[in-house]
Amino acid sequence: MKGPEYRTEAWVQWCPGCGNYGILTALREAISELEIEPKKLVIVSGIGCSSRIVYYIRGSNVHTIHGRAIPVASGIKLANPELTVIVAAGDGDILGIGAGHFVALGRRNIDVKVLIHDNAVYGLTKGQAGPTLPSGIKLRAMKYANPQEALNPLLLAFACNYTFIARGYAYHVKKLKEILLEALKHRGSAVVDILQPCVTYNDLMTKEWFESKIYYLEPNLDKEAVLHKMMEKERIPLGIFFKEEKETFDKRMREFEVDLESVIQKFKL
Amino acid sequence: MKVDLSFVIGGFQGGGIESAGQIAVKAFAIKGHRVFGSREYHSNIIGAHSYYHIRVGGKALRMPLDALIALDAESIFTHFKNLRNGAILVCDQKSLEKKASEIPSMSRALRERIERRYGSQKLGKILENLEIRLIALPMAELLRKLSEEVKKPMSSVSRTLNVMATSAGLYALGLDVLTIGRAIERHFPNPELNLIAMEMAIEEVRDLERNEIPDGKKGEKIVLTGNEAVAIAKLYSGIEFLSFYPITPATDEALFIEENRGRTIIVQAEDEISALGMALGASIAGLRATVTTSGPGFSLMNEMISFAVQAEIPVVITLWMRASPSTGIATRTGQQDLLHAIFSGHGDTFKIVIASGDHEEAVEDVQLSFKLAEDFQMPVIHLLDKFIASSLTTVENKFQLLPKRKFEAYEGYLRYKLTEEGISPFVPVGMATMIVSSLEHDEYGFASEDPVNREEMMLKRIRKFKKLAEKVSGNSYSVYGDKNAELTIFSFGSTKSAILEAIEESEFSAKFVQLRILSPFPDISEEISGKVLCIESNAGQLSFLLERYCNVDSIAMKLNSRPVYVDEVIRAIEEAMNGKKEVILSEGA
Repeated sequence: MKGPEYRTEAWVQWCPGCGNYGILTALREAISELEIEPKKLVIVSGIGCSSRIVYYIRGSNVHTIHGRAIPVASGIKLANPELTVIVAAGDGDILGIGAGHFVALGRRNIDVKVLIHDNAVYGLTKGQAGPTLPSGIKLRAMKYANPQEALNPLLLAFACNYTFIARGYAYHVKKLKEILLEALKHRGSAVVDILQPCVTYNDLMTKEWFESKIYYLEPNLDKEAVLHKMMEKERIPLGIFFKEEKETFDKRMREFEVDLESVIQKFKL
Repeated sequence: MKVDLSFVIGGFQGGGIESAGQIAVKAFAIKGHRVFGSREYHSNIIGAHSYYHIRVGGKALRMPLDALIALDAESIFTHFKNLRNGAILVCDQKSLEKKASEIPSMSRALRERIERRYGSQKLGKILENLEIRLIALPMAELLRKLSEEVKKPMSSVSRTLNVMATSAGLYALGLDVLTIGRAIERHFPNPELNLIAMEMAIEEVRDLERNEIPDGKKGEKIVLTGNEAVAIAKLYSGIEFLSFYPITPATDEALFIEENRGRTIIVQAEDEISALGMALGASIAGLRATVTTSGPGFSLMNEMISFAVQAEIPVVITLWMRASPSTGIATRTGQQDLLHAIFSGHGDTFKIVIASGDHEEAVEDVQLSFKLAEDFQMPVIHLLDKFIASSLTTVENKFQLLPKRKFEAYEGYLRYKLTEEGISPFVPVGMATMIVSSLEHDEYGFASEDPVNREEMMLKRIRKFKKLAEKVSGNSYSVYGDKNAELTIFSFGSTKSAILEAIEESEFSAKFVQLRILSPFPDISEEISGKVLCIESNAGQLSFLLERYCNVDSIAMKLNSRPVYVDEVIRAIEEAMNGKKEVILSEGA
């Protein structure tokens, strides 16, 4: 089974040059390399430009509501562990309205991979500040400079006990595909923060801006060094920051046989 | 001889009141009588006044009381006004020395009501004016004796105070020692100390003149709370997934299932949005999924309800109503979420709302909820309330297994296939490619803004709802009483038993239409006979719905967050017949 199997009839409706194209290609290549059967592939998305990705990759997909892809994906994975469950949504979706669920997924270590299409703006509603846009910045469509601080998705993921934490860049399709492959092979809650330019609304974090700042992590850094790398601001390190094997949520739940007659027996006088 | 008793056991939260109430309910059940125990408690862990109101010989609460078993003085201050002439009051001698002002846990409102009427008199003085049979036990002395007999310190025997007072009270009410002892044995894993305490207390009242309670019906008896009844019904229904966020009065249902879950997946979610989101995810993947919550949690679930309707996902939401709006009174009852349930979620959100009138109906309705949710691929909201949740009663063993669905995937599967009845074949994710979508979609699930497709999909969902209405039309409501009555009473939910008893006793001929399925709302116009009275524990939500089909002449509202009592319904019928438009039901402590 190769690439074209995953294509769908839907017209891809992102702006020309949108970072989402890079993510779409990298993801399609990664799943095709892993030969995941389309009906066993479940991409669960929220709301926003990026969340349209469920229509562009053939799978058994779910388009949920704003901020809530993670709970729905968690339910699917717990119900049927043999499925590959991927959450794909924007930074506003996952780290803004859905932040509580992002926190909870890390705490549970359910085997769901979260891809944050991180462009620091709300594109579909025409350019408001997203949760990863630094304060004091005024983008094209904003009337005032952003009064809220940016949050750091990697540090947040680390604090929540995600067992796989990585950052990629949408236009480096090959390198992104490698990161996604590792994320997909990981067993547990994984997050890949994918930096992507929004060509229409983010006139600061452009292709040129990103490419002047990004670099790839050297391998085998210790935990402390990684935490420092996560905090770095002037330059932006990419790659897999953190990875550990831990018991997943389903394994933490004890299963047992229950005899319903004996349950009622307790209430008989 | 028909046994008919109504009494209260009161004490402070954490002081053994729960055991006392359960022992009393179990004792009468063991004796073979129908018994119902309603538990009232504060949103508090320890110290606040809590009580069981127990009815023997019926399933509804009645006033005035035949007895009050008071574990502390506050219980007497709270309930003595409800004692009938000749009623029994069992208490600690010491309590009689107390003044209302000496009880810090008592609400200021109650203290002021008492002081306005009785000044700052000692309780013993206030009670002198009542025609009651006072049984004041020398508790301190009894406990000292018990401590000596079992050679244990006072601190470890003092916790038997609840059993002492309850045993003396039950004996005074006419139960025999053997039955009370069996109830105690049934309740405590190690009952020895409590059995000695029981005998000691009963010795104090041995010479009392009393009518012995005769044996009732023999046979299997199951005693459980509404929370437990629903939990067991869900386990029998083969639930495979439950997610919840802790909230009174739904938590006990979830915890019971968790303890007995077998292979059911249980997740304590980070909030109710996620609780329903996870259940919907599990349902999309083919599991029988459910959530349980109360008003505030249900508010959070709204966006997910809209999603479930649009994406056509089966799920059962158990909604235990409590006194609202907002946090309201978390541990008290009400029926204020009726309209919220029916109209929950934005958009044309077709859904099923079922309300149960008692524990046995709750068990039936759990099964019905899963069947309808799966057949019609939409959310079912099962409306219950705190009154049912924490009431303990005898029920018949009618728990039934519900077979699993079978799914068939096929080439060219369309998740939202247009069909005559609006129902598309359901196949879970993982068995076919598809898109389950919250966006308006085409038959496969692709997003579509095309007006013709939009109209077709709207019409599909409307057809589905019509088909549902057709299917449930025979079960939407139950009718009781005189066909050609002078008065037709409409109500829903836990008011059922009180109304049934009231129409039996009322001097007027009344019929009762109990609404069981409130969405789709049935046309009840053919059932009207005489005047119309609507009884509900809210500000008129059912009346609002009924107005579409009939003129509501009178409305009786219960607004004080306590359950509806038989006697106030009898009065409401009379007032409605006398042309009163609005009646407020105020019974309850």
